[in-house]
Amino acid sequence: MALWDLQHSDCVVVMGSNMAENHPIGFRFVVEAQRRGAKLIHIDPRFTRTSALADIHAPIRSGSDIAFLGGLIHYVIENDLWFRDYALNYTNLAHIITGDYVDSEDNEGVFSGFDPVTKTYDHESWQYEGKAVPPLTDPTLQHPNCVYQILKRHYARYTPERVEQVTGCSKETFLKVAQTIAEASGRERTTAICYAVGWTHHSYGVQIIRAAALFQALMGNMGRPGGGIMALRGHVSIQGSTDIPTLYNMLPGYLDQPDLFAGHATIDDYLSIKTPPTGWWSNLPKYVVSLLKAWYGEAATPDNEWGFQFLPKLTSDASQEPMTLSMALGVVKGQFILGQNPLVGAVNSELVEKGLAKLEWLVVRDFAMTETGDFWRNGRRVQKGEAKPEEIGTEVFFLPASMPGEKEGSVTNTSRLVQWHDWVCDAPGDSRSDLWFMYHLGLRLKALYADSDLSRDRAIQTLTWSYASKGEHDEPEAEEVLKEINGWTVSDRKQIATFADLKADGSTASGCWIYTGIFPEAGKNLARSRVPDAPDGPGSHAGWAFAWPANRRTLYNRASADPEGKPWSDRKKMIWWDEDQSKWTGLDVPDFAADKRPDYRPDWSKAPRGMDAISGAEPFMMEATGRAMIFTPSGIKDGPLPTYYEPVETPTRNAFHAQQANPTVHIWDVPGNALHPPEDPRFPYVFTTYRLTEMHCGGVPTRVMPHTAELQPEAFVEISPELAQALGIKNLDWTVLSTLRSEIEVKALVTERMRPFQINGKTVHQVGMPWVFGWKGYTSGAVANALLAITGDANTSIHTTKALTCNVRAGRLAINQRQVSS
Amino acid sequence: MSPDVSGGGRALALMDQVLGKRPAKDDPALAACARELCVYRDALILRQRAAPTDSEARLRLSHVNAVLAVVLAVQFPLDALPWDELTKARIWLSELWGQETSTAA
Repeated sequence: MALWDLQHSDCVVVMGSNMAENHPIGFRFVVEAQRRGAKLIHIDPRFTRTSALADIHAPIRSGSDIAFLGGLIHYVIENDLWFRDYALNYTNLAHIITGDYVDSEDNEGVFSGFDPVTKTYDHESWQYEGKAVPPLTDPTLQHPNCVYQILKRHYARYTPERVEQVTGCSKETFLKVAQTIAEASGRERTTAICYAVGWTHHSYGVQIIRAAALFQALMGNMGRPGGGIMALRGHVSIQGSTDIPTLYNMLPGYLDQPDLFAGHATIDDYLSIKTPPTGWWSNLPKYVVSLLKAWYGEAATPDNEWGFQFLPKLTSDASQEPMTLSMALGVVKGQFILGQNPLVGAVNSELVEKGLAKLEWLVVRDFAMTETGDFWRNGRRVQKGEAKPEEIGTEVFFLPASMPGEKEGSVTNTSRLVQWHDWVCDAPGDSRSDLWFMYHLGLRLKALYADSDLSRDRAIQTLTWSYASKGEHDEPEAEEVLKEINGWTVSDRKQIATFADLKADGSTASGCWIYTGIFPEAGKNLARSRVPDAPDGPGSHAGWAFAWPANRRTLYNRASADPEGKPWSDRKKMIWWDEDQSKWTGLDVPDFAADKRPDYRPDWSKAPRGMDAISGAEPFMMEATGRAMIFTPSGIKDGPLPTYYEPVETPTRNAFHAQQANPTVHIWDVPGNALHPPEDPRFPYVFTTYRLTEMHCGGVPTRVMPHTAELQPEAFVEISPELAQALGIKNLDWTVLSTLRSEIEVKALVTERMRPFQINGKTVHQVGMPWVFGWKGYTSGAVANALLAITGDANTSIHTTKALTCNVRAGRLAINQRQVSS
Repeated sequence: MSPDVSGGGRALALMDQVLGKRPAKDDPALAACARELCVYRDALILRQRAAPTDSEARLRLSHVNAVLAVVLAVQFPLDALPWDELTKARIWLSELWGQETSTAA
């Protein structure tokens, strides 16, 4: 959904985010929704500025989100408050799952297919009955193994009482939340859920988001005005950096990086495994071949698999956590750090520091010196006397980087909205743009490998890398890159207007299929467009920049109409079928086959493929069945339904089942990374981290600016008055926070924003600390992430930063253990 | 002075240990094996830099990198643990180590 569509919500639930402080631009649409009568609910451990503006603040213990969301699912099923006409037609609720499936509720928290040795799941027992295409269904929802019945049994124990027991949120507050959402969902009303890294940074982060998606699909809140799930991406262009990914396991446009051990040795193998026979993703070969043509040009031919062998193949998890551990082993020789400050932002910063010290070289590009670039001189281990600068062999190169106004390019925001920004003035001195750096690095690498006769160097030799440049520094033209991302026909280099025109025969090239249309013709960069709708316009603001895909603002918006193609209600209309014109039309670009009639049904006797297998009443066309997945037979590594697990570190036992934590979580038991066992009396407090409005990114951009630095003069830990009294800590006293990873000292902010919880019959205290401080800049403070352990969610390998445990005591560290600013 | 390649022998012994007990993911023997392979690789890098046109040295470096990739695949798996591949990698490393010891002899 578009950020501005939040103003059309009847209820906005903010959970896993302090939206008012960390996404203030988007939050104004929430305020506008409130002005129009919407309710705002903030579900969060702390009482923040978001809570202050909310109609309901529901405090929950960090990490207990699935218990709360599971409680919502239970509530709407038990009280029959889900949107039956929507969910029955648009989700897989009626699909029948194989009889081999065993739910985690019947197996102490573990689903069928689990291998306790490898801690992975085989998905075979999660499939549809007989793997039938189309899946067998029971529209009466009575079949014991239909998704509805499984769902009902799975969440039967997520009662309001159990929600209170596990989350610490009172039953009364929980019920108020549930009733408010239910009243603001249905034909006439919609609810939106907004989240940020408060959901993702857990050992079950994907499952928290799944729980929300499942709930919204049940409630009919997907693909409709004011409905949906708003993933509040972080600052700068985090959305853009997953679209055109900096992630190790994806190619542009959410194509999977080939995996050698998954049978992707050749392009035929890869496409045969990755291309589903039904749904929109059956177009995958067109996007893959067009990408290879964009990258390798004339060197990509049918005879060499379109250059598929130039692509590196995955063999292992190469995400940040394994990379950090590999650095300490000596596997990694060098590292580029652009737009990151892992000494502050990555977990277990002392292990990160050890890894950096094992590198041969490190390149840091930023506009001011960061803790990462300074690790060898003033790092925590150096300050504590555990390492000496003269003994660290890493050669560190600090390269000054341009600021946004000193370069041109695009930023993709949380609504998939790509907005162009122009160059304003030159950067001082030797500062250069990241584009300049990458372009010239590429040129030098190509020159270096030009004479190589090794096949592995062909990827560099054949890479298309000819962009026009300008000025005394040969700054590449950013629009040239955008044109390539959009794509062109190979024969005449004519820009392509829509990804529907991409081909798998090598006649088209596109650097990222979902961006096709952003530069549809020569001289027309739609990311530059700045034409808002008039007050009486459709409200999609299609003339303002470009939202991928196809300049569509709301994904799956076919769901805004009923199966017959009529809006569910006039108040919530967006897309509808126009019988006279025989096409879908409305207030947004339809997210559906434009001329597919609502009454179209596949002729299964002819084994239809691709979009022919999706009926005119199945809006979720990126799924092979065209339906929202309440139950996921495959694709998720840690279970077909979200189930409750305690965080990897917790002061309590799992009240739902014997399986304490997510059994598939990545845990690396290496020296310096030990975890606290459950209920460890040495570390009795829940610890969480967060950002501050006044501190940007990893803190350096604002800590080096006097006028922003003074707004947050030093680091602090937020402690409830109850815990402060118990520990003898007064406001602004020094405290020491400790874990098995590290100890830090920081001043106490004693505040009622933090409250103790009653969990499983015991009082549980939680403390919280901003993670944006370090030792550089005008304002400094302890690095919170030094306390954290390296762990990984099974699906994404993302670390846990929101729910661990620690100890707190009054006082200070020994003088030689204190962090000194520099 | 020629580079110390003894890390290759230690890595081979550790790999046998790993294959013998087939641990789940992050066993200390796996990390130690990766570390020793890196030591061996560093020696091969030094050797290759000293004689850039020595194709045999280059080939050995390529092979040890491949072996290291498989060890990391077991230590940091994307999915099921690739034991068959590690068994093959062990054969490669054994051959490499055999070449080292015969060269030294």
